[in-house]
Amino acid sequence: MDEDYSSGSQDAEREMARLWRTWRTVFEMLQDRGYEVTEEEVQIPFEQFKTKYSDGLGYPDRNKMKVSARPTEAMKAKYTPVKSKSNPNPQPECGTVYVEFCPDPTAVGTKQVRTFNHFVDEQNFHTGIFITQTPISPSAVRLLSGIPDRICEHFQEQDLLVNITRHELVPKHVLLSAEEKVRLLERYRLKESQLPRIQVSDPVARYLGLRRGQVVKIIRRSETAGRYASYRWVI
Amino acid sequence: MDREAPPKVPPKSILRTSTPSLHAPSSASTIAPSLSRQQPPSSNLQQQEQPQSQPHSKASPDPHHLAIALHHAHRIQAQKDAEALILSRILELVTLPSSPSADPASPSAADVATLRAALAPFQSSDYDNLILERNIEGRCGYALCPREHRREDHKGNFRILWGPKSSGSGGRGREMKIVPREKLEMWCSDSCVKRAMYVRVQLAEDPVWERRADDRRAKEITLLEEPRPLKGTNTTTRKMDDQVVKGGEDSTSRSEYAGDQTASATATTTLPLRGIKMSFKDLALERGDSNSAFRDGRVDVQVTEREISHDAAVAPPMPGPEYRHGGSIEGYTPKGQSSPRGDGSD
Repeated sequence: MDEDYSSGSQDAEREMARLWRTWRTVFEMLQDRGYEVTEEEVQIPFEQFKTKYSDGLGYPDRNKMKVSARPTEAMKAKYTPVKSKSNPNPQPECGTVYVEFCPDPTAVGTKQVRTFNHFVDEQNFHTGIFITQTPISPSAVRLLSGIPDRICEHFQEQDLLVNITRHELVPKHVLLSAEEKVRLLERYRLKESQLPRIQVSDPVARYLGLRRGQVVKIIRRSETAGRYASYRWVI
Repeated sequence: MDREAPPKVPPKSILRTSTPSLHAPSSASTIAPSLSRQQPPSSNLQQQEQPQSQPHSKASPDPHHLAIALHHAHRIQAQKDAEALILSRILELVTLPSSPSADPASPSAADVATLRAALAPFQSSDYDNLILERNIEGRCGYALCPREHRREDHKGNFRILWGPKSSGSGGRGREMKIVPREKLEMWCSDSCVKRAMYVRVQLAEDPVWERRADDRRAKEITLLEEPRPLKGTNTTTRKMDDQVVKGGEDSTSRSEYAGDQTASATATTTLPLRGIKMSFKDLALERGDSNSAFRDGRVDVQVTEREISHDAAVAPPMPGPEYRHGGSIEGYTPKGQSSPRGDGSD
């Protein structure tokens, strides 16, 4: 703690702290989705984050904040579709993820999104996560989701300040693998359309990067039954 | 193994057994592969022959259901295509006008043509997106204006705008408007607000995939007519009444100039050629059938007109003398004002 606390450095400190929380949530998110991240990366202390990602004036330098992570074997197994006659050797439908923080403090439009899309496409990342400080324009959203064969997601920094899945009122969401899903439907003799549903735009679904057609198991505490599991179809 | 298969149907093929129309809106991409999987008849036939115990689960789809599913899939695809088109148009219009020194009051004919063509499928919300996108790029919201949008220095969220003198209520005082700052910062000047909003109100409200094909509302977008400028400055579009009122050399030169402009304007909006070839297309337009998504699953009607000889002019039916006073109503001849004197009273 410095003695002469000018308002500028205070501002910088505050912004740095906010960004640090977002940064940690991003890593927790990657970990929860099943990407390879180390415990040290997730638990990065504030001081270390500050020395690593701040510019000369103490303000965060978002240009440095780029992460890519590979999926773990467990995640690959989860994302592999079931074997079928037409597809005897299925490939996992997941790949390297790339996270970028947009340095623009003002409104973000199609220009920034286009460069991001281009980068993701060029580097052959499977998934891209674009994090901005302000909301992005509707046409930019459409552009972001428009690239074929790649998944691009968008979050605002303030959405990731706290990890919503750590809140006590948010039940645990577990994604089912394709095989588990088939077994579930068989066990209950259901069609997937007979399951309750969850929207792709649901905050937890966005956090977990769920895709349409997947089934998620939701485990909540129940006063009468101890634990209660329900299943929802992502739509 | 195959005998136990039915419950193990891979999850995607669920559309096969449930009503397709229910699932059609969920996504076109999931429908298309599952439908195409059903189409090869060879695999279906093999599966049908095997089990007698499972009569309906593997049967080939009801062609009616298939047609409905395909119809919806085509509709959704058309909608997606339209959205993609609008997005690309927005990206295109963000870069307008072509030259940085263009004057929004007298845009170049090429720019006007691009704007008109691009705005045809727009809804007003798409137009708002365009304005937003231009502002993010730092430009004025009006598509033909090359200037930057204005920035307010002060921190207040609202600003008071005063109108011209004696514009207030009752013709006295000044009109006062309280405008949110972000609205004000969309534009470079008040005249650009007028121009942009003049275009905006002409856009159709319903999305392009729900419009009838002959809907000409959004196709003929006109730009705001510019007020007569001060001497020496050039403006293209003028009100026609101005030329009528004014006399002398000035008006002739100006009318020539305006004539050029109208000629170029008509050149930009070329009317579709009307010919025999086009008659089917016109028919489709009239019915709102031009969308390719609706073509499938409909009967293709070929209309051939019978030749009618125009030699014998058909004479109009001449009413007999008994109809002189309006005739009878269902056999009853009214005895009104005119009938007592006429032949109505027997």
